[in-house]
Amino acid sequence: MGLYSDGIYRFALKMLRNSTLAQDNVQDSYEKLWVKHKEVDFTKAKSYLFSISYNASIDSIRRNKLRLTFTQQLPDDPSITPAHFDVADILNRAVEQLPDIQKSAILLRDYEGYSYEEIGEITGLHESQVKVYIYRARLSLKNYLVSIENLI
Amino acid sequence: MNINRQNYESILIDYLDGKLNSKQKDELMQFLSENKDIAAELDGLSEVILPVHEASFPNKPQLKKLPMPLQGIGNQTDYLCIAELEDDLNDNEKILLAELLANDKKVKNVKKIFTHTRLAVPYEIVYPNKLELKRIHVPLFHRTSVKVSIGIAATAALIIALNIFLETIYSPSITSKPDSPAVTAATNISPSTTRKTDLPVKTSTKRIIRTEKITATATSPKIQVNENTDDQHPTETKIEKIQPIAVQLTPSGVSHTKLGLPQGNVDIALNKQQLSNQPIKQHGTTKEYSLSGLLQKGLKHIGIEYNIQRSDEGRVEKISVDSELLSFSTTRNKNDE
Repeated sequence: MGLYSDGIYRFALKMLRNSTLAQDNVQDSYEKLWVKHKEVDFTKAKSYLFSISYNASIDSIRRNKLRLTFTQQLPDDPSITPAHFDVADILNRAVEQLPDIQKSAILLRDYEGYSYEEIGEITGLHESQVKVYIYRARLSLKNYLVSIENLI
Repeated sequence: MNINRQNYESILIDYLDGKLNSKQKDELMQFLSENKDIAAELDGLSEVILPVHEASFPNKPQLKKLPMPLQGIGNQTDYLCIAELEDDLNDNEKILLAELLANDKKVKNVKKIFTHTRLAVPYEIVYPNKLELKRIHVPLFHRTSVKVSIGIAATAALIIALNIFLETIYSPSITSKPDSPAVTAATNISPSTTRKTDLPVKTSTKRIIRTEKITATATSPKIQVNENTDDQHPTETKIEKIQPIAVQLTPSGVSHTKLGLPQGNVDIALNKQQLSNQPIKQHGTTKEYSLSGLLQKGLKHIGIEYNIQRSDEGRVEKISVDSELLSFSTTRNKNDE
């Protein structure tokens, strides 16, 4: 239970970039799971939770067009100098700039280690689509890192 | 083939498409020679045929299946690096990547950058309110339990109210109001259950003084009420007999004869239809109550407001009970029959 909630919270936080909305997202996901707990296979509870969280996140982003400050992200206008250079921070910034669908796919892949098929079940996409989104996301991240490296 | 002015159009189109044989063509030519206006129409049609436009798709090589699925990645090196990161490389691709890494230092650098694109799990981010995610069991407030409890409470309240009301009506110490109805009930008792009481009762009624004489036989038990008006002096009422009564609920459609009761003696006739708030029927000195009216009167006597809401079809939709001690209402489930 604890591991699931942390994972969903991280995922929702990255997607929504707002800790309050992310906490609501986790609570809503668990509430829906408890309501339908008789219909959900226990072994797929985690995927089910992520699926609810993903759909709620996408709905929330579309509805509110939120671009709120992510509590864990870099300052709003960081001056990237060799002194501040940190791959993890730059990568976080790069992830923020990905399209939502690519971001979801790569977060589920890297954070949770889901396969293309499982990500497809969670996001409602075909396995091959998931693969394409992940490849494109990695290419975008690499291009971002290269561009920052060139600046430095 | 019979060509006429009604079907010539389809035959002309077949002719233009080259679908007619020589015999049919001869017949068509014969028809056209006889109908010059249609022949002129054919000349116009033959000019409308569009010439084939010579055009070709410029990038045909791009439509061919690529030797490797690049997953939307244009650069082969990028694709191979990502595929290696994702553990998607097949044997041939592994060999190809190894060759590229051996021969080109830039590929090595690209591969290194791609390794940085793998996101590290931020374990420091944890959900703060885990206890709130646990499922809460609330068996006491389960919907079915609540329904059952309300049903039991309502039934108990109604029974108590009915008993109190009936006791009040037949109690010797009751104070009769000027407009209070005399209620008689059909009884189904044996003569052995009757008992005698000779209790003088004072009534404070001024306008109507009742002398109740209750007699009962095995076949026709009844309560007789005689009314005299005297505004001057309260008088004593002597009840000669008090017999226990049992309310005979008469289902709709059951006649008095079937129940073995004499005609006109069943004054509390209760059935499903009478549950609504119907006006009280009066026959001479007796009044007829519906069950709902009886209950309402009894409940009101002990300080409980009781109300039934009905739909247009006459079905009970909501029952509400309100008193100083308790107040509740129950809505009838539409699925309940």
